[in-house]
Parts: sequence; C-alpha cells; structure tokens
Amino acid sequence: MGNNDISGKRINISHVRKEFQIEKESLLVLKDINLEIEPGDIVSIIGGSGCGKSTLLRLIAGLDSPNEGEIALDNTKVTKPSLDVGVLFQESRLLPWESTWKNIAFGLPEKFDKEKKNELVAHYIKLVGLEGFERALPGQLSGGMQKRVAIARTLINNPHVLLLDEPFGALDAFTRMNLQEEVVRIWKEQRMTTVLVTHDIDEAIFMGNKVIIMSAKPGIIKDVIKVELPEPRSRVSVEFEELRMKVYKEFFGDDRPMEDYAI
Amino acid sequence: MNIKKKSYENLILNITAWVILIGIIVFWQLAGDKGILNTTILSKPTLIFERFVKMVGDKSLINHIIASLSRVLKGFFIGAGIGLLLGLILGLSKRLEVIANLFIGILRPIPPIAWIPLLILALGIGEQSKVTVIAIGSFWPMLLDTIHGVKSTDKALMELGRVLEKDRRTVITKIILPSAVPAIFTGARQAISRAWSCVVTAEMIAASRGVGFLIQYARELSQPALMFVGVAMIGLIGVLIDIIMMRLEKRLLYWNMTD
Repeated sequence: MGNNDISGKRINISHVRKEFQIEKESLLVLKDINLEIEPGDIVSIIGGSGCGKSTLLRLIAGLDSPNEGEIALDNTKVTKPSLDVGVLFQESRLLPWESTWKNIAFGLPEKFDKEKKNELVAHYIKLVGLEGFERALPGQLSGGMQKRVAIARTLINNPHVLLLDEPFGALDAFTRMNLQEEVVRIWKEQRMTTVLVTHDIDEAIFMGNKVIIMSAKPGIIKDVIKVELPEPRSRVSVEFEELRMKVYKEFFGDDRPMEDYAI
Repeated sequence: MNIKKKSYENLILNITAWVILIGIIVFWQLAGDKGILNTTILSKPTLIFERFVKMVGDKSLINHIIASLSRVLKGFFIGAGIGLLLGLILGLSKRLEVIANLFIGILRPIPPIAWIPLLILALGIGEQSKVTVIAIGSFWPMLLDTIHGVKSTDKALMELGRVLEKDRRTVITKIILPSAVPAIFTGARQAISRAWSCVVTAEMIAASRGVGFLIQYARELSQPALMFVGVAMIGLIGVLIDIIMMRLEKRLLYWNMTD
C-alpha cells in the first residue's frame, strides 16, 4: 500500500446484452455494450434512471449474468461474485446488530488469522477515520459514518476491482463531497480499477478519468468523455465548468437553451 | 420540549386510566353494599380482597399459581421449542415449506382446546395431556413467526453475503438468524401468552390444582369471591409475563431499539 503500483485488473466488456423477463414481456436493458477499462483506471458511468448503468455494474460484479456477450477481468470470465471485486452499494448494507468493528471484519473471509484480522480492521478503521467508533452500532452512526464503515468493509480485502453503485446518493452534499475526495485519495494509493455509477454529473467528473455517458431504452453507451484536469481537481475551476457543460450537452442534446442547464 | 410535553400527556392519560379503574371498583363496592348488584353472583371488592388475603396467608394461592406456572413453562418450552426448530427448517427450505403448507393450513385453525378429548383418551387425565395442550397452543405462533422472520431477511443483506463470498452456513448464522430474532421474539411473546390462556382451560377440565381449577372449583361451590380471586390472578400473571418478556426483548434486541 502507499506506492503507485498498479494493482487493478483490466475489465473487458464485449457484446453484452441483458434482458429482463417481466411477466411475459421482455425488457431490453442493455444492448450490445462494448467497453474496455484499463487496469488501475477510474471511470464514471452516468445516465438517467433506467439506462441500465446499475445493471451493467451488477454484471461486472457477477451478481447477474448477461444473456449474450461476456465480461472478463484480466481475461478471466466473470461467472459469480468474488472477493477480488469490491462492491459499494447505494445503501450501506451494514449488519444492524453488529458493531463497526465486526461489520468491517465481516468483509474478510470467515477463516482468517485472528491476529492479522485485528491488525487489518484497525488499519481500515483508521483509514476511513472511524477511530473511537469501533463499538458503535450502525443505528448510532450518521449516514456518512455508516458509509465509511461500508467503504472499509469493501476495501479490507484489497480488491483489484472496486465497483461503486451510486454510493453517495443518499448523503447530504457536504458529506458526499467529503467521501468522494476520500475514495479518490484511497484509489490514488491503491490503484484498483474503479467503476463509479452515478447520476450526478459533478461527481462523475470529479472522480472519473473518463465519463461514460449512457442512454436508455435500450441501454447503450452514447459517448465517452475524457477528463483531463490538473490534479488535485478543483470543482470550481474553469476547466471543470467546461467539462460540465460538455457532459450536459451530451446528455440533453444541443437544442436546449443554456439557461436550462443552470441549477 | 416536544418529548417532555408528550411524556407529560402520557402521564395524565395513565393517571386517568387508573382513576377509571378505581372508580369502577368503588362503584362495584357501593352498588354491592346498597344491594343494587347481586353479590351472590358478582361478589364485591372487599369480599374478594378478604378472600385473597386469606389465601395468601395459608399459601393455597401460591401453590395454585406454581402448579399452573410450571405447566405453562413445560408446555411453552416443548411447544415453542419445536415450533422454533421447525420454523427455521421450513423458513430455510422453500420445498419443505410448500409441502408443510397443506398441513399447516389444515391443522392451524383447530383450537388447542379441541384436542383435549383426544389427548385425555391417549394420555389420560394427568399432567401429560395438560402440558400437551399448552404445547400445541405455544407451537403455532412460534412456528409461523419464525418462518416469517427467516423468510423476510433483507434481500440487500443476502446479496451482501454473495458479494463477500460467504458460505451457506455463515449466511444462516450471521445474517438470517440475527435478522429473524425480532420476529422469533414476537412469536415467543405470543406463544407464552397463548400458553397461559391454554393452561386455564386445560385445568378446568381435569385438575386438582392450578388457577384454572380454582375458578372451576369456586363455581361448583358457588363462591364468587374465590372465583374473582382466580380470574384476577390470571390477568395479573398475564401482565407480569408480558412485562418480563418486554424487558427481555429490550436486552436481546438492543440493536433494534436504537432510534
């Protein structure tokens, strides 16, 4: 940890098609998705609801399987979930009856050297800034702190791939920005290949090296925008603003008056 | 501020409830004294209290209560124990649950009391048949709530188990069972109160001791005061059991209460 070794895996998505059977009708969610994500890269996938971005993430995680095509990590086909692929869901999904400490330790395999486990949990508690809250139950923590517990639990296995499914959507704006920065900081240290699914354009630009724009019905990749910003990124720079415009335009098309973009 | 106001309001309402209760007792007493109510059927509070004090003094009351309680505990542990075990199995296995549903559908609506004649034929009029009735009464709520608890485990947590590559055993012990504890506890609370109402019925049919017997015996002797002592005991002990269970729940389900 700490050096700039690329520890991520290459993600290859080729000709992926996913349909869902609802009653007797079939719904085409993803149509012929092709995407290659470089080892150690961080990319954002953005799109409106129903564009299949979360479905795509679930396919990479091995939680669902595509109807056609395949997804491979370093040339190994994904068939089921693996500890090598960490997933951070929108909800923190903590065990409500377990403490912070135990929730983070739950990320590790059941048969794990006890001493090493203690060491690792302590390290990750420190990494996400939860010292002093080891014994607190999830119900006693704020939403942001619960998210930190979930982040530590996801990272404790040192996954080569990190998948973030709208992870900060339910948090307030300040906590959200704070955690975005922390995840980027951790990514910079560990360089796991990271895929962020979001509907927040600022988040997509702030965190991703590329912003993949998807459109719905059926879900396809509409465009990929490269993010080239001086590091550390500033949310209020001119370059950031230009990129934001670009993504907005890509999203809504060019025929919409500028004033509509301002929120 | 708001919480303070609310607890103040609750206090007032609680006092009101007690005032109404005392009012009823006073009215009952006065109506009995004035001959408006027939005391040979409805007795009156002073007579009931006298009887109560006498029975506490000669220890007959405590003996009846102990007799009933020990039946309740035996029946509860047997019935709820089997219900819990079977509930876990059926909750975890969809196939077995489908098979069991037919039997549950047929057997559950039968009130435990309806089994008494059969149980007397099979097991005699001794302790066994009484404990069995109580066990049957405790069995159903425990079974159904356990199945429900196991089946309603949060899907998101089950998916977490998949993402973290947990084996079936870990998923059951670390995710499903803890999630089911609140529902299991609801089942246990219902089971024990059901057990308590079954014991009274069982003792009315064939017994020489117990609170249910006491009421039946009082009817035979036409002693309404004694009858009311028995009835009051059933209510009081029922409330006590519920209070104990609620305390236990707070302890066991600490994580469910932090809000």
